This record gives sequence, structure tokens and C-alpha cells, in this order.
Amino acid sequence: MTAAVMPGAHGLRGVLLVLEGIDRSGRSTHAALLEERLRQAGRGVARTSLTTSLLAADAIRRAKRDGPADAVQMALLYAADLAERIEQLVLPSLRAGLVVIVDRYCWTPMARAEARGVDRDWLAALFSFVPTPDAVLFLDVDAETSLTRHDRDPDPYEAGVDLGLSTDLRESYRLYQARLATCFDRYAAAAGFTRVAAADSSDDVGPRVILAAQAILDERAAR
Amino acid sequence: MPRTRSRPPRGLLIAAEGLDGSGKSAGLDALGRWLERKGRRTHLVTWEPSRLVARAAGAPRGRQVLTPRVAALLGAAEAAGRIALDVRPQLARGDVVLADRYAWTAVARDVARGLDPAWAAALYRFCPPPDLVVFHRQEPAMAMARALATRPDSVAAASVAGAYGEFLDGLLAAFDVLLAGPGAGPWPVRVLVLDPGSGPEARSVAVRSAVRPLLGDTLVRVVA
Repeated sequence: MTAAVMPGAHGLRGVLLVLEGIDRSGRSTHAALLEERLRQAGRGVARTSLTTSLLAADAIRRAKRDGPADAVQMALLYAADLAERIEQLVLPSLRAGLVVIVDRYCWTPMARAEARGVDRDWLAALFSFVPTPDAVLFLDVDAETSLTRHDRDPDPYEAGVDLGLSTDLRESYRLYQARLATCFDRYAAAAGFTRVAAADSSDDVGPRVILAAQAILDERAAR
Repeated sequence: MPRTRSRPPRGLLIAAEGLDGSGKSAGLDALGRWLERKGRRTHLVTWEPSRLVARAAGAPRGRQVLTPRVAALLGAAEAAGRIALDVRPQLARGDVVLADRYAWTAVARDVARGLDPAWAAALYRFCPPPDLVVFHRQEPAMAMARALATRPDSVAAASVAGAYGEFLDGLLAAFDVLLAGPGAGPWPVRVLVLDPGSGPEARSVAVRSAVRPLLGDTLVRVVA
């Protein structure tokens, strides 16, 4: 398989594929499956996930554990986490012509902050340093389906308990995830997300993700 | 303003900005005493260097990934935590917050390290806008002398005076941009500039006459 030669919107040789979605939409699962599939097809792939940076990840985990954290502070920590991974992994890999799969980019932290009342224009300015992806695959799952994917109770952060939406944890989760979904709808329109129906089992969703990704790779190769 | 919900009644926020040894702390002390005599409750907050950044800079692997942007974001995150804890509640109570360095210093440092000035300014829009910025002008040579006297280690570590001098020049240039126009900083703000030659008495007079008109339109708490 030939590597893409013409630069993408980010100006580099590689291909930047982002997976986004609400909690339990299957982002990490499908990011890993997609990586495996592309490797089997002979592509050079790099993959990175939210909260895996050297310098900010611990601070994010600590803030979540000790919560409720200030929403502006969380957004800034997520931005630091993403900035480090962009500088250390995403950009070098794109320069080298690899396919880079990013499991949650700027939009998950933006939605989490916006759902907590942080100004959306400020968030857009904050994350304006990120390279433009070739495609954002949005795993489309409603809040109710997302909730059924929890074996036990959802964790308090994923339920947005700090927002005081409901005293019932599962109801709080539904309301909070629905709020995130509203934010994602707006980002999808502004940034041109590719929606992938993701409410079915991962066996059904996997091929859809791979098909959508392959379409982007073909398009880049044809350019 | 990063918050979209309506703003509570605010106290008064006065920020002292400028290079090292320009007289910021002494000026805020005097102002604080004067305000307390006028019956206002005051809180002094200092803009501490980021612990996350310091820890990262202390480890070889951390230093490698500590770029200007990552350092800016980690520093801003810590500042946001401090502001949520030590500034917003005090302002909401109607108290006076005196900030020894504030967002301008943070923006100037980020710009001096090479970040885009517009991005650095927008970054700090989450900070409540000061009612007044008192900017202390200072010659870079004086700031350097002060830095060498009080923080010999960090200045030496910044690979000697040459690099530090360059950084100071960058800071001054960034402050000049902030002083030049309301569009350059995180928010438009009223500014009082104090010159390096002026004595403490003249400075106090200037600061008080700038602060006096601000006292009227803030919430004054009457304790029964």
C-alpha cells in the first residue's frame, strides 16, 4: 500500500484520524481495532489516547479523584495533555507519513467543560493549536445505550455528579451524557464529523469504522 | 469571561505587574494597609511559579517534553485552581483581592518563550479581569541585578546571565505590547503606569487616587 504523498489539512504527509463520541461509545475499542486492521494492511500506524501524557495525566487523575475539580482547570489540564501528545507523537508521526489514530482529541474535553458552563469561544481559542484532522469519526450512541453498557454503576465523573443534575446516579449519567451529545452535535456541524452508527454490537460497528477510515485513506492517496 | 452564567456581585481586584524588584510587593502592602483603614477586607494573592512545571523541569524526561506550550498550559491550569480557590470566592464576598503579579505576567512569560501573543492572551481570559492593573516599570538591568541577588540558582540554571537577559528583553517587549492597547491582553483593563524613578510616597499617592474612584461602585459590606 502506498503512503499518502500530498499533505492533508494539517500540511503534513501522514493521515490524522480522530475518534470521538460520548462515554461508552466504543472510542478506545475501535481505535485499537482500527490500528490492528491498518497494520495488517501494511500501513504504519501510531495511536494515542486521552490522559496518557507524561506531564498532565497524573494531575488529571488526581483532580478527578479529589473532585469536584474546577472545570476551567480541567480543560487546561486536558489541553496540556493533548499538547504534549501532539508535539511528541502526532506531529512527528504525521511528518513521517504514518496514519495517526487519536482516541479523543479536543472535542471530548471541550464538551466536558462546556457542559459545566465554561464559555465555548474561550474553549475554541484554547484548543486552536491542534492540527486539523483528515477525518473525525464520531461514534454515534445515545445516552440510554451508553448507560446500558455499564455492568455496574457509572463512575461519578462520567455521570457528571458535580453538576447536581439528579440525585440518582444513573439519571444523572443520562442527563449529563445527553448534554455532552448536544455539544458534540454542534462540533460535528462546525468541524464536519463523519458519523458512524455505533449503538449496535462492536462486531457490527467495527467494519463501519474501518470502511469510513479506508474512505479517508483512499481519498488522501488519490489527491 | 469563560463563565456563561451570570456574574455575582464583585469585590475589587487590583493587580501589580512588572519585572522583579520593581516595587510591586511594597506597593501592594501599602495599598492593603490603606484599604484596611478604610474598612475594606483585603487578601493578598501571589502568582507562584507552577509546581507541575518545576517538577517536570527537574527530571530529564520531563524536561524533554516540557515545551513552551505545555508549560504554558500546565501553569495556566494551576493558576485556574488558585483563582477558583483564592480569588473568585473573595471577590464574590465583596472583598478586595490584591494580586502580586497576575495574568499579564503569565502572558508576557509565555510570549517571551515564543508562543503566539494572541493565543497566550486568550488563554488567560479565564482570569477575572482586574479593576486596575498597576504596572511598575523597571530597567532590565535592575531586574537582572535583583534576580541575581535573590534567586542565584535559577538564574545560573537559566544558563547564565546572557540567556536570562534575553528573556528579560522578551518580557519587556511583551509588557509593552500589553500596555499599548486594550486588544492585546486577555481583557480590556484600566492601567496605572509607575515609573522607576518615582519614590514610594509619590507612588502611593498615584495608586490611591486611581483606586479611590473604584471604591464607590463596589459592594461594601456592613458588619452589624
